Amino acid sequence: MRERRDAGESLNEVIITIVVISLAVTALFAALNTATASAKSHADRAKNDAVVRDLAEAVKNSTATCEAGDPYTVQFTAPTGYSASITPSSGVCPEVTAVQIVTIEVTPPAGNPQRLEVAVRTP
Amino acid sequence: MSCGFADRPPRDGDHGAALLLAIGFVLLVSAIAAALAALITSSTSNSISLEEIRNRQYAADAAVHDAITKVRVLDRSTPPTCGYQTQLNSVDIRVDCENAITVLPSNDNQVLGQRNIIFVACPDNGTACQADEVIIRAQVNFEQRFDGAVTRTFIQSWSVNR
Repeated sequence: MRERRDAGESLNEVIITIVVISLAVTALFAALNTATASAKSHADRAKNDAVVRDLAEAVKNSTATCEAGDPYTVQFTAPTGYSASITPSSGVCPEVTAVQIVTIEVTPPAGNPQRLEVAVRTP
Repeated sequence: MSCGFADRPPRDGDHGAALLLAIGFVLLVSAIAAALAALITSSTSNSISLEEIRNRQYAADAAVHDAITKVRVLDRSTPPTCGYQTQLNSVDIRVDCENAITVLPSNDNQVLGQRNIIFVACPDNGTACQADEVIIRAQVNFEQRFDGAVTRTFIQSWSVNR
């Protein structure tokens, strides 16, 4: 038989335990949510990077065989939800003595636009 | 005389066990949370460096192409010294080069000198590119007419190191 001074001690322990565990579980769920959001953000950034690189390579490919003064066309289809722009929009192969800087901008479905400058030249 | 122990009430075997379990649980959760925090930090750091690497590589790419156009118009009798500095995507790049002339026999038993140049691009820190700093190393062939004018350039090798 338990002594009188022990009365209610287990209840106190159980209540404290429930509070502590609740706090821990809440923190764990918050951390999991943050991790999920971070992983999605990282995946989005990696995909954005791939789209930017695809467009950059398409721009460089378009001048791989051109002659100075000839127009070139960039063949690129942006993935669904993405939009892409190239400046200058209508390309003319540069003189052999200089490179042409082309600025590309890719706007993802969510997040900030990605901007990259690439150089093209007449081979 | 009392030694103290005899005055204590007998303890239950599971007395305080719930609290110990809770503390253990909290420690476990803390470890998981710490691992998640490390994962998040690592992911964020990786994604930032992904963009930095892309900007650096395309800046180096542009710098090498720029150097090719500059070397193209040089007199072939003078080996290029390069050391060209450019900036693109907010990255400063230096391009050094060295002559790698090769000699080939032609169909009519003449000797043809092939003008090949090795370009190396690295972050510009004011000194010549060191081997461990090289971002792009490219060997380019400059096809020339007899009068020395370059008719076309050919990339013989192009390696992106970092």
